[in-house]
Amino acid sequence: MKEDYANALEVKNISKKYPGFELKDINMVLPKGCIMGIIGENGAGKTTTIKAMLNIIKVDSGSINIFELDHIKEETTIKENIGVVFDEMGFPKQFTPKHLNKMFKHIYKTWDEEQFFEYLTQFGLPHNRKSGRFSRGMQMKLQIAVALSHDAKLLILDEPTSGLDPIVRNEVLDIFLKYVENEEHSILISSHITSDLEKIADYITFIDKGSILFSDDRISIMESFGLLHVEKEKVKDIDREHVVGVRKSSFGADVLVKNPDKVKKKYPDYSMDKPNLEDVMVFHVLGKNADTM
Amino acid sequence: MRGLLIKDLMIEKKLIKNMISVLFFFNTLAVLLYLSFLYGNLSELGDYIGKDNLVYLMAVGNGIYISYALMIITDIFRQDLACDFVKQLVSFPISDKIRTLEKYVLYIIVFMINLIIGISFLSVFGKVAGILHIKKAIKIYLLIACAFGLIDSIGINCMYLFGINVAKVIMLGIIILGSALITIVFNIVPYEKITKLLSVFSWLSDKSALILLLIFIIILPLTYCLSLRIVSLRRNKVW
Repeated sequence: MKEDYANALEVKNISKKYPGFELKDINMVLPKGCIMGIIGENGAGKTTTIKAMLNIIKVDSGSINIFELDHIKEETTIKENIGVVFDEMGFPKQFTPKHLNKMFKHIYKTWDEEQFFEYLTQFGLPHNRKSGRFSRGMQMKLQIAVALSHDAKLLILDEPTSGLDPIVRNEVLDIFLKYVENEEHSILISSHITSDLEKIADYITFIDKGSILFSDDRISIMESFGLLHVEKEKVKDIDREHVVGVRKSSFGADVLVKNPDKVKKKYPDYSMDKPNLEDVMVFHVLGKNADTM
Repeated sequence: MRGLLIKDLMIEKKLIKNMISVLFFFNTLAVLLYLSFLYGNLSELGDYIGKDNLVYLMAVGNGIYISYALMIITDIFRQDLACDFVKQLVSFPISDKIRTLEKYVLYIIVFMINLIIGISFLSVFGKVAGILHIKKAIKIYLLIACAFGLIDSIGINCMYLFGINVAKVIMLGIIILGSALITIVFNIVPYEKITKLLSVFSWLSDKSALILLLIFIIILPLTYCLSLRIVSLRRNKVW
């Protein structure tokens, strides 16, 4: 595998049709050394996209390159250099980390036994306890230790922080941040917990109903939206061209708008906040819904 | 493949040990029974059933214990599913070919362990006891082992195709149907005709075990190819 690739992952126009669901023209680019977060509702197509990357499903059209290698032709080489972490640990429950080490040193050519035990110690994981007896947080750390111990250049994480308590979640996020300190390392992370992505992601891809609504760097995304607070009856007055979504409550209405600077100038009487990633996601899904305003 | 084999052997360590112990226990029991026929209180019984015929019992018993091989493969399938290892497996740098082949290699390893122990016991016992028809007993053992091998290779296909539970039902169905068929044939067809029929097929003749072994050696790679096809087509079902 060549070392001088620019993008860890390139997804170009992939489509996949299922009865009742379609993945349409998915495009995303993850530059080397960066973290990309994929957000979206349940069933939006996040996991299907990851499955396509891992060649678990065959796409109808489009191409996927990982480390600038074709994901089908070079599947084994690619998988030698990626680490995949699932929301649930998939190792035999009766295996201790020592057993896992025995197994993995024959699965990955680049498996580093010493590094694995170092990670176990660093994460506070016992070497001789059955992994089935680990807590959820410990199981997640064990998966991460395995993913990091074969010098993976790209980590693909599917809901890695779901079900973890805030302290463990922060620990896990710190591990990811430390991992990308090495510029050769990249992370693709799918998560519902948008606050986690706000802490670590450089890029955000938002998938909704099988299509990408946006895929850009996090700061640009956050700056391109504003959260306008208005009275319920005034919502109709706001130019619909700017409106992304509306959420009404008994106290008034929140309107997510595009081009916040323009909107601010146009409606100086209304207060405007910076939305968080969750707002951006929720308002996009809620839609304009202007007729019921 | 080594990694997966190590994993499966570590998981099935108990069952393999169990199989080896059972084989040793069964064969030792047969040897002790033989000694009782010769020198002990059971010498009359030995004369009645023919003490040399004990090797046939040993051959049939050892042959039946070949079923451990499929039992171990079934258990691996069950455990992989239970802990979601099948999902984890798709993220490893292991091709479908290797992951399917590994199950067959594991099956052959267990099959060979059984065969080596069985044949060793039969040969040593036959030689020490001076039983002349020991070769015939070994052939019967091989015949049963290969018959199990053929059924098991279909069983592995069924596991890939329908999952373990359905495969178990199918295997049970095959055994019940087979037994029922034999019972019906023996009840309907006159005994002389059956012997004539068997002599035509010469199943118990010198070459029958080798022929069945050859069929098993041909069928096993074919069922592997079929399993591989199923695995490749069902990739999306693992997650």
